[in-house]
Amino acid sequence: MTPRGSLCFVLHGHLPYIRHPEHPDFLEERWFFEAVTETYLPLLDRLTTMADEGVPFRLTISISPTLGAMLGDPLLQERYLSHLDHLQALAEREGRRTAGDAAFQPAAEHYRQQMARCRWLFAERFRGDLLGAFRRLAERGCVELMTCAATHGFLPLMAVTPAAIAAQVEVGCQAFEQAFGWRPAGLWLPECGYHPAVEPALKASGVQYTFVERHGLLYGRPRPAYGVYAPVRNPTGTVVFGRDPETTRQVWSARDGYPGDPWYREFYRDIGFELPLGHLGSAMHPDGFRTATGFKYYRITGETDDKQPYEPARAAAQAEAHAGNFVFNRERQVEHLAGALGGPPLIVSPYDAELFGHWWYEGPHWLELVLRKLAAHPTVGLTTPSEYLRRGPRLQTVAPCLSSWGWKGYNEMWLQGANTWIYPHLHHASQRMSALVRAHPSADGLRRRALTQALRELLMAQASDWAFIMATGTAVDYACMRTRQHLARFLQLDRQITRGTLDARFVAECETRTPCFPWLDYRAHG
Amino acid sequence: MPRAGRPTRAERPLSQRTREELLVLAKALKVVGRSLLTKAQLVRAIERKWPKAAAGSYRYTPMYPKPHSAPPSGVALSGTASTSPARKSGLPLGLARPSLRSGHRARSASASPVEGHPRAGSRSASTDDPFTDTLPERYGQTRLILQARDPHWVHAYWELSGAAERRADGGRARLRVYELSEPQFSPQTIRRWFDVTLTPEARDWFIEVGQPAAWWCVELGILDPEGFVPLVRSNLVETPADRPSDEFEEGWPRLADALAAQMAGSVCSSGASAAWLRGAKPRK
Repeated sequence: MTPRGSLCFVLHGHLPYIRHPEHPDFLEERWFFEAVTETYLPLLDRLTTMADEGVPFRLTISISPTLGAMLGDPLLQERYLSHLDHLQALAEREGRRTAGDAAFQPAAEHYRQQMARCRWLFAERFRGDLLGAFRRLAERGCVELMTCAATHGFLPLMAVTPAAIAAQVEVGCQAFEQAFGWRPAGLWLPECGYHPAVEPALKASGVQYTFVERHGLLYGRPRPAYGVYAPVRNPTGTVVFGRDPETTRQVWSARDGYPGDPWYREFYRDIGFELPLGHLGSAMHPDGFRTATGFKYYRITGETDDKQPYEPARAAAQAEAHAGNFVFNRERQVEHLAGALGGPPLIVSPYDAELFGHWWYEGPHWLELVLRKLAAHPTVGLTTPSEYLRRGPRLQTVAPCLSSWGWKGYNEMWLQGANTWIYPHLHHASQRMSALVRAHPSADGLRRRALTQALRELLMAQASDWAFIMATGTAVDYACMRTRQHLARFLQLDRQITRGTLDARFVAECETRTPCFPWLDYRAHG
Repeated sequence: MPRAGRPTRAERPLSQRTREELLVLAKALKVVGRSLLTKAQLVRAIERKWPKAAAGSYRYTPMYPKPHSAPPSGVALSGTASTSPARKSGLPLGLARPSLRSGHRARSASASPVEGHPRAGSRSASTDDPFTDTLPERYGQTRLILQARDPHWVHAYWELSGAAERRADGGRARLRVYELSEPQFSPQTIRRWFDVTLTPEARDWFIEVGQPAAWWCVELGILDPEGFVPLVRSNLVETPADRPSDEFEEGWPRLADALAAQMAGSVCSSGASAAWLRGAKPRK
């Protein structure tokens, strides 16, 4: 029996490029370690196991080029293992501390096992090569991989410098090819940020499909015949999928969604902020301030500060119940939509990958159960964008509108009082980059390296993360510092190239500090 | 050495802060007449301006916190000039969160975006950085760049140099905002226009245009006895739509309004990005 509708799960994996060899223990590098421990290893563990068992699931995953660069970075891999050492030692101390404590001993033992499994997964099973693990899943047909813009630049606010959009898109495709060996079919727009100005860049780089937030498609012109439940072609022929609001709400919402369930783990109670520093030892930052450990012993409980102990087994049972509820709701949704629209709907459900594991601790377990249930479901089939398009559906041509999945749905998260100051610099730098490329269409030697590094610095400065962090008001110093440093280095390189006063040591120092995308070609920026 | 992300004093209640600290906050929140207020009055004034969503516990909004949005205000339409900077709708977002002091610097930068750059490097990992992270205050160009923020607001920033700068010096600078019937600027395509009076030191401005799915262009100029003298013209932008189009295509089913509304739901409840969630981490 042919399913009456399809579900396309998309996980978007991204972290900004954070790598500081000049410091032995750099605080913000921990973002990456946490994501590996809590999201990427648990996901790869479960997906690989399912694939080994022959479960015919389908899942689409975008790996941002900066995340990919960090996953493949030997220094960060080594540092991750040493980070795990500290956590494993902490887990042993916690085992002793909670021995005989019926309330917290189960959670402590759970983390001890989790850390041991992470070490085994990272060092033995995947041998440090998580990109390879993703690639093998793709080769087996279970996972469809796609790329993202080079450094997760927020493209709608580059509309005045189209060459910058083209560079973000093209370098994103090249990074994917370098990491996985083939050109990507799909590209995830950073922050789901769509602007008509991205259309020529997607076409030029051969991107076959992308995604928009629901209103990007729903408010497109002409009105899409099937709303967000069928992809369209944009005016330049790229296929655009729209995000389903219902599955968004069910999984994403802290209030109405699954992750807020009282039995699930409370994110904001971490022993790193609660136990004596002496006990936490090397799991804390050597400069003596507290950081999250990932050891969290309480459950959400409710709207109270009186949190109850976390019970891993009870939480797992709740994830199972929520997986069943999700599948049941999809059956109802597909039946309703198939009737209302007069055809089989495609439900597209994209999420930040880190929601699963990092934020919603039980998320990977839930996702595995949902994928298993839907892998052979009579009503709701799992699919990927390419698989869906191979069936040759008739596609309407619609011009999507400017939109994002950020706060309020447009550009405001990245364009507000706290971050407007970056745009005069970013736009100027992109214009200068264009001028440099025009002046030096085929540079070689040191000048070529300087031009390439200039583009690298520009791409780094464009990362949407910096503007975002400035707006949220946490870690602002770091975000401002990164923006300023990359822009200042770009301007310095620009001056040296333009005046013919290249300083080999300066170029080399920039390359050492930001070695991302070693294969980069400066002509990606027109 | 402390680095970015370290717990800051920002989480202390307002009542425990010094008057100097409160004044900094009050300035960022544009509390009028702040220098004349007592400490208690400052606290009350800040609390009034301080958005609830941000001032409340950020700890319980992990998935998609919705920072406060002040109702658009400040710039009147159709020729009525206003001097109230409309940008305040975006302003207070980060104030209730940690890293307040640096956050404030970042925000004060918005009032004069190029002069007040946050100098983050000084207390960050870059203290040993031999490289400068100083950015120029200006690039010696004359340009006016316009970007759409959402269906109702656009943002303009500019730089004047040479003759244009001399011309504007001491003049009454204003932005003339044109709504265009098509993406082309000519006397025939201008549907309407209105002016926004600028403060002398302004280098950027949020403008409430109040019209989705329309084309906009802005000129920066001065008012002299002859009338408005434009000094520089912006690029063109289109504000995005805020509802389903009334344009249908033949040969395809017509998506009913009710069904479209069901799909639209509330735009505000979209997801957030991983970076936001990172930023929402508590620091005890």
